[in-house]
Amino acid sequence: MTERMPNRDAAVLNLPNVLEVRGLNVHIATDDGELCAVADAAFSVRDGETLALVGESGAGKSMTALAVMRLAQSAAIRVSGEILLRTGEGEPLNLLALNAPAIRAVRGRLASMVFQEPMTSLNPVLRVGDQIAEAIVAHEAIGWPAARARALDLLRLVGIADAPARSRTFPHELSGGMRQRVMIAIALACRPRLLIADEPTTALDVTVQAQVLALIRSLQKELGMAVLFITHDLGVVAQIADRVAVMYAGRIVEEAPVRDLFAAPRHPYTQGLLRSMPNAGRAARSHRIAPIPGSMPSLARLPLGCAFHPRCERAEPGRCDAGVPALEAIGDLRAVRCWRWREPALAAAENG
Amino acid sequence: MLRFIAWRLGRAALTVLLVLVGCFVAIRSAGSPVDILYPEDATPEQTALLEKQWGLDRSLPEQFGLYVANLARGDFGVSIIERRPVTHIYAEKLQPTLQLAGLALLIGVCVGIPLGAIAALRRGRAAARAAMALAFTGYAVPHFIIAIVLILIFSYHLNWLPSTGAASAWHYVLPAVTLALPLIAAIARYMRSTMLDVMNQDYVRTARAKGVAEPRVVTLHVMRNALLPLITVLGLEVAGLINGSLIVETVFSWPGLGKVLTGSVSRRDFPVLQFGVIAYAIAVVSINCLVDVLYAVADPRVRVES
Amino acid sequence: MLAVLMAVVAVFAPWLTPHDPDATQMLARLKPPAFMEGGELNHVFGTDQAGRDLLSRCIYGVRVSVGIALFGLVIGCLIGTTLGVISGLFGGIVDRAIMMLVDVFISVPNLLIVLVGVAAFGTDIIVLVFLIGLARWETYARMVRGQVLQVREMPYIEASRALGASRAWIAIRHVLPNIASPLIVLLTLNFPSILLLESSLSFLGIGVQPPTASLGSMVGDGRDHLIAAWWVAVAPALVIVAITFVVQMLGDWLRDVMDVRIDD
Repeated sequence: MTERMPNRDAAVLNLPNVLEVRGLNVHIATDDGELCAVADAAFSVRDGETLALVGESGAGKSMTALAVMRLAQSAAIRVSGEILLRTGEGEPLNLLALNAPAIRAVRGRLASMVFQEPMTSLNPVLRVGDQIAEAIVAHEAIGWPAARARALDLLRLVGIADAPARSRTFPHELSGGMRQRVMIAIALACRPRLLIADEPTTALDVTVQAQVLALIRSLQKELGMAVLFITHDLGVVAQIADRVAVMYAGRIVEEAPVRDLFAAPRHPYTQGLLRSMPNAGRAARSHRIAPIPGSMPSLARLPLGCAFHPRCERAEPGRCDAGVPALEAIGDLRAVRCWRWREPALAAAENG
Repeated sequence: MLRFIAWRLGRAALTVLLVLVGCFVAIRSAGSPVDILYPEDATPEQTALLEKQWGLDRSLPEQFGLYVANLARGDFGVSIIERRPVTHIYAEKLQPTLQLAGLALLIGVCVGIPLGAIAALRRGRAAARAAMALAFTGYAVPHFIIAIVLILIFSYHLNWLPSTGAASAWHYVLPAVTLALPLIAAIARYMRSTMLDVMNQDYVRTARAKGVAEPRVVTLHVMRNALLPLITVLGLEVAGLINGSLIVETVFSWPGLGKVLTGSVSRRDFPVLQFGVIAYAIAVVSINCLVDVLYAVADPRVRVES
Repeated sequence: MLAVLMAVVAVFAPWLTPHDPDATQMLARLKPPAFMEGGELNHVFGTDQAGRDLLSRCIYGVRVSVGIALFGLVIGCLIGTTLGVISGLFGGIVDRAIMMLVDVFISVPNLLIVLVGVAAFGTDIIVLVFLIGLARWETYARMVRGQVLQVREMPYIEASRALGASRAWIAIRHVLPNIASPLIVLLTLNFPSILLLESSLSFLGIGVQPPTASLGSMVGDGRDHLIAAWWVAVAPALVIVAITFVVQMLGDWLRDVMDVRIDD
């Protein structure tokens, strides 16, 4: 973890944003009316940088990722806002404004995604080599034989030994870790500028998890791409992220460089998350694991005011339950969405 | 794989054996097989010979053995009405039946699969609703009523198509369509539900995330996975197709097996009936067997497990 | 609603019919339905080749067809449920034998089975009911077996077994309540196919024999008069379609309401 700590912030700041999301809203129509899965999300990811999107399940992380890829589309889902993807020189693309062929040309070429479930994310009746090659053929004017040859290189790149034999297997013949490597190979097939990884290690064993994380990190260094990494696991965040955005009930509640977040969380929810985490962050010492009381409210019946106030030990009646706080910037690198973050009680809590 | 095929063949053989037992029991309970299986005016010598051949003096299991042995030798008896070996009768009538059933199957597959696929892809729209309403109708209306309605409209009212016999290609239209309609309904219903199922699978999302063009997503990733279970369903529908062909052939006076078989029941022409049942059973069982093996070949998951 | 209406029609047929269904009027042969030229309100559906009132005959036909189908349904359900319970409870070779039998019945067209049965035992109504009942017993057997296997794994069954409850008692006490709702759905969904089997047989002339008339045999009779008097065949055909439609829809609705998953 310490090796991750050298101050890259200044250097990273100078790089251009690959992805910039502004005012993203995702509304889902249900039988009980429309609910807001993602509210007013704004974040950016720079070249070579990893932004971790953290939160409990149902917080809106995956929906945000799917919305960026324009994969969250059905009659029931409404996405609004701006999703800007910088593709090189020129003006950035607003992904939400693209028509179907244009977004298809982005997916898998400029921005790729790795999913949570390696077991079900590969087509069971196609050989894995062909599934990788398919991603190349979809975007480049090359034939299948050449694409298959590149698929072999990609398999080697993601650390699969005996690539020619493996490329001819079917997904069910591979272990979960192997399949996730194949998924990564598919995502990297056209060397995208942005990789979105949606809980890519959650379904894997701990040892395999570490391998896959190391793989993503080294490939990022090699290819220089931006990574949007979605997870609920702060341990994983510590290993892989440069910056962190914490989501709660559809909103980003805190954003900070990873070191600052672990050292001095500002939002009571982040503080609670860190306290409820065994053996990580600043306190590998003998602190008690203290889970946050209660559970995240259902999106269908969000409380008035700050969505976290019913679980927050510092909630102030008449203020926290009255209005939704804004995401306030703290310096250049941090932001927090809390009515009371300036008050000393909060600052003191993190020290004692 | 070979073990799977062997196991499947064994099961098929067992099914046929059970059908034979059923036939045997049915014929024994109807009376003496010599009276039943051969014309009444057979000479006493012939009768005595047959009785010996059938071993009527021995125990039931032994008799069953002889019964099977006779069948295996190709001796299925002589039609009581037509006075000639039943195998000859069936040989003549086999072709029209196969043609009709094959044509119906072809129509069923060629119309049912696209219909179900469209209903799934355009879910919620008027065309999809209409398609499924049609499929629902095909499910609830029996063959003989479809036949009568079609005859009334296209033969008697519009005078476009002939309704009896198999003299020309036009004669195939009404019976084949009648036979195919319930099949289309069943296939479309099944296709729609598996398509909807597959469309929600993670790997379809993966394909989209790769930037694969939508037509390719639909054909290669969705349809290909949806068609696999359909193979099995088709095998099961063959039984229904045969049920239907018995009725449809009778209604349209089709010169095939259906009329022979249903006619043999009312005339109590046991040899004819017995052969028909056995032949149909073997046909259905072998088709199902073939279908299972095909499925195993087509689905890599099964291929490896066995 | 319609289902209730049909049940009422079947039960109270004698009081509902405007005419004696078997009374022939040779002077009023092949009269068209009331809405057509030459039709009379006296015979709403028209009359058949012997001048019998079609509406009255359809009402009686419903009685015969639905009656046979219901009895067949009950018989099939009893056979299937019993075998399913046995199969699920005993397991092992008994289970395999019964499942083998199920496979046979699925793969052999049920019309063939009925044909052999009719040829061997005649077209007595009782024989017919039994043969028709045989047609779909395997659906119940499979469903019940599945439920039994599921219930058998439940901790409370283990507990009552440990307390010395016999298998039969367990079956009655714990399994039957669990299968009630899928069974109702299955019965409803099977009813149309049983009714269609009966009417197909009667249509072919190897089901219900004259003078008793079921809807199927009425369509069969009407077939000979299609050119001159299509309504003789179409009236009972419409009744058959109406019944199967309504019951099928009822079954689909029940399946959704009771949230039962049945593979068809």
